[in-house]
Amino acid sequence: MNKFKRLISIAVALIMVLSLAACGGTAPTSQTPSSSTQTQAPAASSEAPKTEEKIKIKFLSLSADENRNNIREKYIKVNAPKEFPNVEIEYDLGGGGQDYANKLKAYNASGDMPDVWFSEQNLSSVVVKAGNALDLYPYVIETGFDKMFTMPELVAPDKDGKLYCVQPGADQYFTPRLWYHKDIFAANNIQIPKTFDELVAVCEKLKAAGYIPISIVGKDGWTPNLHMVQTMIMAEDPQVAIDICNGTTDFTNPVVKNALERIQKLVKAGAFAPGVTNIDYGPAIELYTSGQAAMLAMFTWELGNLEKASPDTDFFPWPSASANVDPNNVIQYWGAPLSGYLASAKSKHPDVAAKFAIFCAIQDALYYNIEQKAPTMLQTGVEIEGISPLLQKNLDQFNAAKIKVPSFWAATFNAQMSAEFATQNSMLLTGEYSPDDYIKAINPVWLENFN
Amino acid sequence: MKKYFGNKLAIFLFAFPALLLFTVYVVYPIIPELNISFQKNDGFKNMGYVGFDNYVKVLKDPTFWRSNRNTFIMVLVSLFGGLPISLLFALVMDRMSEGSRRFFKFSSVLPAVLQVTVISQMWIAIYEPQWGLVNSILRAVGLEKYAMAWLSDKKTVVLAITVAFLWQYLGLNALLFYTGIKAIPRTYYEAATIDGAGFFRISFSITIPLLQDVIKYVLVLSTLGCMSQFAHVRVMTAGGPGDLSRTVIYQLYYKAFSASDYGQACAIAIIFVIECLILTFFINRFMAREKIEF
Repeated sequence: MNKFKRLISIAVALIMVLSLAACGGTAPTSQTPSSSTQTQAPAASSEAPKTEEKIKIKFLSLSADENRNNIREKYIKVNAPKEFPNVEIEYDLGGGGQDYANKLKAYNASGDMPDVWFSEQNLSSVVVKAGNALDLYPYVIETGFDKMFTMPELVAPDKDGKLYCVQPGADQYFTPRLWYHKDIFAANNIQIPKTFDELVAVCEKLKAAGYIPISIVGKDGWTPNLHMVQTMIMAEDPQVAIDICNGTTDFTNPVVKNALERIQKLVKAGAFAPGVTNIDYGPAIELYTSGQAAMLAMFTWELGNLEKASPDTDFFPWPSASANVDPNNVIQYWGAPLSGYLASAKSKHPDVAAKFAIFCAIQDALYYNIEQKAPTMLQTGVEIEGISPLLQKNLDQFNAAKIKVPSFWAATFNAQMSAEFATQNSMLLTGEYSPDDYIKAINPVWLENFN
Repeated sequence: MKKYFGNKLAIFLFAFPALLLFTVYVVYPIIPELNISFQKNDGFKNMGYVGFDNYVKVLKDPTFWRSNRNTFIMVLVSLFGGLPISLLFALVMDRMSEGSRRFFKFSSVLPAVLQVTVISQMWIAIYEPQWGLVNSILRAVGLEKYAMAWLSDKKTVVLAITVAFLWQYLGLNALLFYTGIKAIPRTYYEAATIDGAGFFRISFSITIPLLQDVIKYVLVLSTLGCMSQFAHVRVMTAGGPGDLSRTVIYQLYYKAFSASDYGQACAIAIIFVIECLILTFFINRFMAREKIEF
């Protein structure tokens, strides 16, 4: 028995020692910066001896929506081994929404960033501010990436002469729409609403018919965060949204309060699914594609997927709340200078990381050009053919709109403002939170950060 | 034995590794945390010392008080709802046949060893407003008017999360109680039975008084477990709707990682340490004053 106990003790001690060793930092690899540089250029790397140890980089990407998953799985993962034969890529799946934001912020706080990652403006700005983002401008020039854009300002350096993010140029075409099932509308004899009051009436009629009128992503206030608050502001006066983007007005503006009241009116009219504050991205799309919801509030980045999943899908612009606003003339677009792929300033292989970020941006654009038949500001050389009538309708309306306003969530807000905005929007969706309380809570944060 | 425990050097040598680990991983982190709590700090750099400004902001923030209230609701429900059920479960388990007991022992441990995310996702499905189990049962028995969005309603969200949390650890606590019951000499029970005592009399006069040490242990574990409740909240509601289901630890996490305000996050952490110390003091003060020996 004693012998047995002794054996067990030795085994436990060995396991503990091994665990400690495993928890400790790994010893630096024998690769020197110069040796890794030799393997970085795709041409050079393809000629490198097969026995050479591969260098490793980590890529963090969103994994909660189909587009991001397809870009990663069908394009980046498939094409990366050809372009970077001597690079082993570790794919870190970061989820979506606030989960992704918090993961990236935790990385940022530790300073131990993934080599390359995808992030939106409000997150990227935090990383750039911390000095954790690599200046990609020299690599953009070196690889000729800057020559690939029809909108050169997308690859222009910032005021400090640096460029921290490379983007596929698809975002600028993304705009929020109200998607709807033509069949459900026809079966219930419903006409396309042109004003906000008509939209409320349509919601009430659909609810009475047993449908969820509008499916939205309510978790963390996602839909109001990304566009609904701004959409409701622009429905009355687009200039107020422009002023918020420029920091020349605040949330006490009466147009903002009216916008919040309109969202509250929709909640109270039962426009959204029960328990909407807990509905995530995937389930929200599913509610629509399964036909349980008659409409879906979503950006055009889902256009291709919606067309495939629900062939009776069509869209209409968000109805206006003022006789002075023509909904067809006003567009909110998603793009922002820091929305795209970034590389870590502390990467052990900055050359590879930078080139991989550029590669990802190109793959991203290829995905939109080939799979979604959607144009991008980044010219991939792919001739877009067979554009669906729905996509063409979207592009025509997009191009015809005279007022185009960037998303203030994507282009203006910082981390603190985004966090408070998300909290307030989630509260607003309960239907038991007044716009006055909302403004009282959000405006001090706005003034502290943007005045 | 006496030779070793009378030797102060031996005591020090035996206690040193644990003391070192405790100091490095528990005591030391409080020092920089205390320092940051007096700074305006976004997690990357100190933007200047602000005195007690962070503490004032935290204490004036209604969300902080709401998160405290939510945390204490969880603690109270756990102590006055969860622990008695676990104890009852243990008492019943003690009376079961060997086969049933083995089954219940296994069932008790299973939820506790499952990932919090798995349990949370399961309870999200149970609470789902349209097809979830709770609302389906309510509709089936004609109580449709009580069917609601449990995780989106401000009146039910905290309790709904607490039930999921309690359910996960109910069995484990029962098992701890059961282990304590098994340590009580059977002769006490035999004597009580001969004197004609029934199940409740035996439970209240013998089992529960002699379980004081175990009760104290489970009490401290449950209290601190509830106090540091985070994972279930994160997965089930992300603190929402809005900030309605945030606990103190979730609020700390929100300030640090969502709002990038490490100064306030550290101030919350220091206040939380004080709260935990006070609670532990009271538990120690009122429970198991004398050592029980059989």
